[in-house]
Amino acid sequence: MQSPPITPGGDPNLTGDRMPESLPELRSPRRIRRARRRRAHTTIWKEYRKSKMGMAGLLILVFFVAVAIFAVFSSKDGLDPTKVFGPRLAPPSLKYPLGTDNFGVSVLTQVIQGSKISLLVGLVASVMTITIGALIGIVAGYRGGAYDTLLMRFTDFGLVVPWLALAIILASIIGPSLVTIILVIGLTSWPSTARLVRSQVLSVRERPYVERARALGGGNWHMIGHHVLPNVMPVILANAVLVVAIAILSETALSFLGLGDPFSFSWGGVIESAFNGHATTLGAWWWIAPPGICIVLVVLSFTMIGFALDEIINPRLRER
Amino acid sequence: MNRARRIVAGTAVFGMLVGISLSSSALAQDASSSASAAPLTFIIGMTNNVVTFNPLTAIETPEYEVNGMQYNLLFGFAQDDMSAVPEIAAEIPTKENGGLSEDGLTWTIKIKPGLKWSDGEPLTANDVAYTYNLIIDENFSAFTSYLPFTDSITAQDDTTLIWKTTKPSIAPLIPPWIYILPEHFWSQFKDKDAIKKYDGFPDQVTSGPFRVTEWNKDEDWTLEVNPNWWGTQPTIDRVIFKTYSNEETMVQDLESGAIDFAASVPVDLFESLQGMEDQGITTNVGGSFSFSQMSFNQCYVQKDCAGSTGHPALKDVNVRMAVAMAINKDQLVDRILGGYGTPGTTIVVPTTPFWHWDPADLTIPSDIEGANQLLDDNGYVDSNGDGIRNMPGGGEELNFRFIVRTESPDGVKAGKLIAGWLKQIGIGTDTTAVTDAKLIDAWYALDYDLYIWGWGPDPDPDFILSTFTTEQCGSWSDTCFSNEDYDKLYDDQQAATTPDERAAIVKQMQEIVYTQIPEVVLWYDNDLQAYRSDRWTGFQLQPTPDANGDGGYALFQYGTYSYENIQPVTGSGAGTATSSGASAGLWIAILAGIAVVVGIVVLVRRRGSDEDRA
Amino acid sequence: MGTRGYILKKVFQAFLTLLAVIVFNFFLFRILPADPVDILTRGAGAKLDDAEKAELRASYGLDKPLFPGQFMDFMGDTLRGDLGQSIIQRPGEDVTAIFGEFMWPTFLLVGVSTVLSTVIGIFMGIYAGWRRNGKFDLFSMGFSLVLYSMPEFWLGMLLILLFSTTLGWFPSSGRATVGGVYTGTAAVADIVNHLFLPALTLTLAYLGEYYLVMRSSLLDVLGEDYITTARAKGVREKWVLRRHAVRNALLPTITLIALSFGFVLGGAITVEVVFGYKGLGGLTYVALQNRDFPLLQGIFLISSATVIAMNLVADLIYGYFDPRVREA
Repeated sequence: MQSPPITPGGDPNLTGDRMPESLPELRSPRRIRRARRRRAHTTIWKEYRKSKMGMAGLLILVFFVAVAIFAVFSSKDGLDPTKVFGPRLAPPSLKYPLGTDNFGVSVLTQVIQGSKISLLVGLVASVMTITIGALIGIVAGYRGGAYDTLLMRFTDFGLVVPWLALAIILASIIGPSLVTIILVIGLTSWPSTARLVRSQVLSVRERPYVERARALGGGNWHMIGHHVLPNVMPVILANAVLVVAIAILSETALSFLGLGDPFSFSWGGVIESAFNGHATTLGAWWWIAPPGICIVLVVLSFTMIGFALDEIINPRLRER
Repeated sequence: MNRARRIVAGTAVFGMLVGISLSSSALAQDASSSASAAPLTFIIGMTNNVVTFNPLTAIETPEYEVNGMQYNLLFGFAQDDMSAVPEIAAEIPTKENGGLSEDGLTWTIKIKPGLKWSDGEPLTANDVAYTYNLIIDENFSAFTSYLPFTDSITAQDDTTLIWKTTKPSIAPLIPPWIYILPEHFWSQFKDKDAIKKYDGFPDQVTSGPFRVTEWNKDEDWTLEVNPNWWGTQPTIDRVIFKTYSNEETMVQDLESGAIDFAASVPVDLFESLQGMEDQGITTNVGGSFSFSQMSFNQCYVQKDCAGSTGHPALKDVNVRMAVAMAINKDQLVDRILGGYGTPGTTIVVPTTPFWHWDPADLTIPSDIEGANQLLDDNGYVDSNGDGIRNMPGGGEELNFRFIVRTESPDGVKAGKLIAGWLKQIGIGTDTTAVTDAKLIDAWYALDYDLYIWGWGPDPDPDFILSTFTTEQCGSWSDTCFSNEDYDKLYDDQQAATTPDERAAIVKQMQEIVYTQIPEVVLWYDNDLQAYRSDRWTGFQLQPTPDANGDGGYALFQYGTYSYENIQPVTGSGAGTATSSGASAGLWIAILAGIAVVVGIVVLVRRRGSDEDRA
Repeated sequence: MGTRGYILKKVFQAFLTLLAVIVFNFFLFRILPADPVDILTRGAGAKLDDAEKAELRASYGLDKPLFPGQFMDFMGDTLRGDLGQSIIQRPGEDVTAIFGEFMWPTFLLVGVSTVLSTVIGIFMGIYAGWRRNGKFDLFSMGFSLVLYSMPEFWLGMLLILLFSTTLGWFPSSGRATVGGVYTGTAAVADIVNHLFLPALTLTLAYLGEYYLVMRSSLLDVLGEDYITTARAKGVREKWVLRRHAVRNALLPTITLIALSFGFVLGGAITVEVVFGYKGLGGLTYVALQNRDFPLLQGIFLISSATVIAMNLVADLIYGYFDPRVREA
């Protein structure tokens, strides 16, 4: 698995460090905070709109989400081989725009239905990864000391665990399925997120206003909730998008190795059945290319969005 | 700048050197291969692998193939119909020729005189007695079933074997699939453990037409003619088996001529080889010695069934019948096997027609409407309108857990089709694909409703019949089926005194299993083979092919008929090792690589000089 | 804490992680359903009765209780370097020997690919970072992003489709011609012939990452104060690039290379499967399906140990080049 190149950092201007100059009629601290945040968000969005790469990525993603939603509501009969089937390994035609596989099932239907599975698995696995990673990172960075050392050793260990072994063993116990894949990705991808979050928390902790808040008697929950979390969120967000990209690629690889559910194909599953159906030797390009192209587009979109966010959040990458 | 130029120059020179050496070596290779007189070699490709050449521990198909080439049986399998023919024995013993005593308890088997082992030692009845007694004494359970009711087996003299049984039986004529081993070699092992640790290589003492002389693990193994072979002398000198990690490369090598024979070709690739006769490739559809089945959990009545979680509906033969009727076996064969198979009927494969029972009028039809009707008539209606039938009286829904194996893509496909058909008769399935390990767990724990697996039984039906006896539940029984009549018949067939008598009983047993439906035999799959007919001729198919020319195996037979008879087609240049140098692709790549490097260097230089000026 | 303290600390941490991995590996493989004896006996249709199965289990030490019996045996053997014998794949052969045999093809494949992708990726990254938003930057950025988003085995399948099935230039799988009888240069040519497509696949797959890391770390460095100072002083651009920027930007890339070598063993598995390349990846895949415990354990142990070692090397390199890291 590859890890994305992330440079940690944070722009204090975006995270509400200074008092707003001209905001009439604000009395409560909460409303001040909310106004600050709204401003920060609109600023981010405005910056984001400027990025061509970011917008392109967003567009592609929206398209595929639409396809996935369509897949959820459309009939799955096309996948039932006892109901609908055409000639085996037929090249694209009017009736079957992407041809058929070696069972006679339409490849187009498989690709459409696969979208919802690939996206879902990627999303759920990422949520798991980020939750675990952020939790560990925040606790380690904030508490420091023994907690930090222990958690960082644990993170080192997590980096080294052979995810493939874990994957295949879980598949043996639970059986090959999407749950297995989600668990595997979630349980093995969190270390880089944890490290990232931890270093961000560390840098936030050193900031003067944070020390002042502590001196003023701010309790731990307050500190984490009001100071640490909002400052860490942008970094987590940028990282999250890239984590989803990697999760989708990982799911594809695991499905390819036969650990996915053979009864509900993700895009990786379609590629796997193409490979085992000797599509490469038989020249069935219509079976191999479409699912891969979809994967590339979706992962690309997440990567582009992630990079665009990263450029906004890390000012060093911006033009001077 | 100087450095860049040097790099370019160096790369170019290196490229030229590589090119020159490659081309010269290619030329040299071609020259040398035509100069020397190479042994006549036949090369076989397969995707299986061997881990041992020890005949007592062999499991895989290619291991058995090698055993068949290195060793002999007391009685072999006939080429036309797999019945017993004399091999080491001189003739078939009968009461008429004194081979069998009047009371049917003593067999006197004459051994061919003058047989030798590969090291020159004589092969005698002592070796036969030694081998069989070794099996019994050390309990090699893979083979003991071939020696039922044995009282004693001894060698009266070098050419006479006395086999006494406790009950009249036709044990020697099954025939026992036990390779005869030389006493003077195997007696060096002091116990069973020592035997099991021996991997059979090198220098085994053998009797068959070929013996293993070279073994590159996970790559290939070579067999050469045994100089002391006492049977038909083969024309070829050498056989090389190559193991491939995927079928596509194997087929490509067949097409390019790197191998002469491809074993177990998958359906899709087999179809792409059709019609290549003029390019010298002939395909062969081998008969089926294996079947796939869908089993029902039948563990209800026996003492070991306390923990069984099988669905109660499966107790009713009408439910099982309806399920069987919903399955369209013709479609299974067409769509999964590409037509290379036969719809399944009984547990004894039709490739052994002597034992196989044909259901004829009792054949269960493929009929969705009829299945629906059958379930309706027996009270299994959908009481809550959700599309799934319920137990009579509105009880549990008919949802079956259906397990297929990930190791078998065909099984997975069958699972999808069957699940679809069952839906059409109002039965729900919860289908999962698991690894063999997990299925074995579920199997032992009796925690399943339906599953798909298969068998590749011996040509003799005894073993596969035994798996349906009551006592095999928890051991080899697929379903924990239990039927008293069946159990009794099993003992009867073992004690039969003539093959015909036995065949009648075996057929009765198949009828019981077929009509009680503890499992549905889905298909008998063919073994697909292909070979270079422009180079080789003389293949002896076993068994005799049917009217379409299908059903006989060219290689991987029960015997060495083909190996002894194949010879090169005159003028084809077959059997001499060929080699090719680097391919065109490599040249293009090298040239392209050089061009890219040059290009980059030039670009960098130009930019660099621009920069300096700025 | 000084250099020596830093080194000691890192080595000690690495050792602890290794220990944890060994223990984890042991339990991981023991919680699998069905042991190898079951697979051996049912899967192949061989007929062993219960007594024989029990014998077999005993000979593999599978009948002792998990803890402490099997565990103590395992720890003792491993620490002595004895990783046991394979049960199913190559019965009786030492795991370490099997590993050694399959190790070289994978090293060759991943080594060649890593060298090519780092060299090309670094040069591209430097050039793109230097001429930011220029035509080359945009083009190579797009190119690398697409490569980065591609499943490498799918790329492999496409390459096979094009170069092997359609054009017939290269063989579609294998490490060398099966059972080939080549010697000398012809043998080398044969291996290169088979290595070309898988190496091309991996090179393209890794390329994107090295490019992106190099580019972004170069941009980071270019933003530093000392670069601005150098420029202000009138130092020539190319000097600035060579002497200051690249050298410092190279550091994260070098550590990335060290880390990548750690993942050598697991990283190429999908490509090895697609190309039927007989290396560690393929070995692992088959051993997993066969539940060959000792072999699997051995492979994963050695892989993890390599990763840990490479992490250590990366830490030490970083510590050597960047003194700031060494201070506690």
